[in-house]
Amino acid sequence: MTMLPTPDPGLAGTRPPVPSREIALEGRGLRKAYGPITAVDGVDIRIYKGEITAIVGDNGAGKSTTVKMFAGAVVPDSGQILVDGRPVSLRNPQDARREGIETVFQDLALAPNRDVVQNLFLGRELLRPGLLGRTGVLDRREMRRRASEQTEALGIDIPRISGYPIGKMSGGQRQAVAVARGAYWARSAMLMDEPTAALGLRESRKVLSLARQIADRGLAVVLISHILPHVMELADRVIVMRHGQKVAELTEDISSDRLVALIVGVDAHDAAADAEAEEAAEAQGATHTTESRRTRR
Amino acid sequence: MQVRELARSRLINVAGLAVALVILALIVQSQSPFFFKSNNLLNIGRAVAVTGVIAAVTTIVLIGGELDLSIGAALGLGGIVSATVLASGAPLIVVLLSGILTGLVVGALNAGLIVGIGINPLIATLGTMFALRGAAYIWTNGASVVTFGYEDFAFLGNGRIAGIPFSVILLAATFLLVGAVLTWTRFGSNVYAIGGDRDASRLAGVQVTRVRVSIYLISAVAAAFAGMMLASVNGSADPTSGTGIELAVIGAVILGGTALTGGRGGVAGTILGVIFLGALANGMNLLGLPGYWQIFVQGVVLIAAVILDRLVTRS
Repeated sequence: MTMLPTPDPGLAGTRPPVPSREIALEGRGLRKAYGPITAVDGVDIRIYKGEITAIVGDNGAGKSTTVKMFAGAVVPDSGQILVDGRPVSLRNPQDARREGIETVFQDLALAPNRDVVQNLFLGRELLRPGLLGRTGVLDRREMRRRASEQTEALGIDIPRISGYPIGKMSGGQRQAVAVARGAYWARSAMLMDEPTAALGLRESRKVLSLARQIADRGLAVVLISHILPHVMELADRVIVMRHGQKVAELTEDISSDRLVALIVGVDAHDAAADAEAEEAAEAQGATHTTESRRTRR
Repeated sequence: MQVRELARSRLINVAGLAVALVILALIVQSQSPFFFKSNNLLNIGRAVAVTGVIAAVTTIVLIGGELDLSIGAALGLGGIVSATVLASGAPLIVVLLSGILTGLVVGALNAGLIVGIGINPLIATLGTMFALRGAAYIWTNGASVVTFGYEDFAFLGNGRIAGIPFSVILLAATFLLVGAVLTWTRFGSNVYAIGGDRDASRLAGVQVTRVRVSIYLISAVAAAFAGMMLASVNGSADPTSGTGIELAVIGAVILGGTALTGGRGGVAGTILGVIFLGALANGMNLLGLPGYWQIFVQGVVLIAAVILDRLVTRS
């Protein structure tokens, strides 16, 4: 530690003090098969605190399944998951939540007939202290106070936080509520599966800037998205998956061409390799070898 | 300026029903001077007490997106079982516990079929409705069990405290309790959420199974308790007691603005729905309307109320 140069005080002020490269989530040798189909085939993955990690890949590349393992929604056949360096067993979303991992599900998991406060604390309602709390009496004032704090801190634009059902709000507003809930409860990581898929341009922008704010608070944010401009703009780290394997991990020079090439697996270099491999395979009477390609940087 | 939508739609419904009740009262009063006599008002209260206790709890059932058609049969069985225990000379507390235990068993049966096995609530409770009614007949071989002459048990349905019928006090207490549970507790909050979207609630971490099981337990316990009240009022428990009451109860709850599809409603509407139907029956009696016509009018009123509710909430 003493060997490190003192950081430039001018520079330190411009960036939020992100604890750099601290691992929040780690997966080792994750594997999951559905019958004969291997959705995730031995993936090693690290998600860092204070970063937005995007996972991209074609349909069926295994990105959703990988993220669902961290969400507790899919239990891996083999492999290990670590949270803050501790091996954990995530059998269901409750387990993941207990480890401080929050997921913004594609269908949001919000009750449409309940208001923002009630949804923010859905399933984790705050109870009054003492005897009243033990009989299940809600601390509605405290929930309202914290919900209002949270929505204000994130600058979420919603009509009102109580007495107005969430089902009457726009898709973007609902998404923002789901994100605010994740951010409120997450202690380690927040996972977002296609958070902008159903949103218009302006609403997408808002949700993405929320993701950035949450990462800046020091949480790890995992983003699955097929909208590459969003990924390039936002992600600190991009993990590319193909055929259930991690084929690349980029932290710089994230360009659209490069991503597309990696996703579909046809850059010039690869194409030549493919042709060679296929020729060799045909010579041996095999049918298909492209899927067995190793991870390449 | 944003309106408090949730509160507003509920308020319109409750206010509408209150206005309808006032109009009904004025019409009946103009034809018969007896309606507003305090005795007659207490008569209405006593007449709706048994239905009302069940209706209060059925409000929870419907808000949770569930359905329990076996409440009438559970009422009958609860009355028969507790009356038998009473006739055997057991003390009142044992009698009351036997009735409540009957409710718990019935509720557990319904919950097992619906939450455990996953049978549709309509079908499951239709089945238990017949099975339990049959069980009540088998228990006494179709005969009634006399409860007349046991003074402490008679108090349940016929006693008075400061001039107010004890059954009416029980009715009011049930409504206050259910209202408080729905508004102020985690259980109540979860009932609304599950009625709104069960899968989302589960994903968000609500203990959906536990809440659903509780709903069927309290529904059957309320029905069995109402069975004891009715046995006390009538001076006997009959295996046919409460036949068809499930539809009157659900009708009153729907009339009060609780959605059959779940997620919306409250006890303020239900109590008005119960009183409205009670006042309607009472008024028709005072006006000397023939019995067959009374049934017909009740049906028409229910349909009219639902149509009106749709028009108001959609506009």
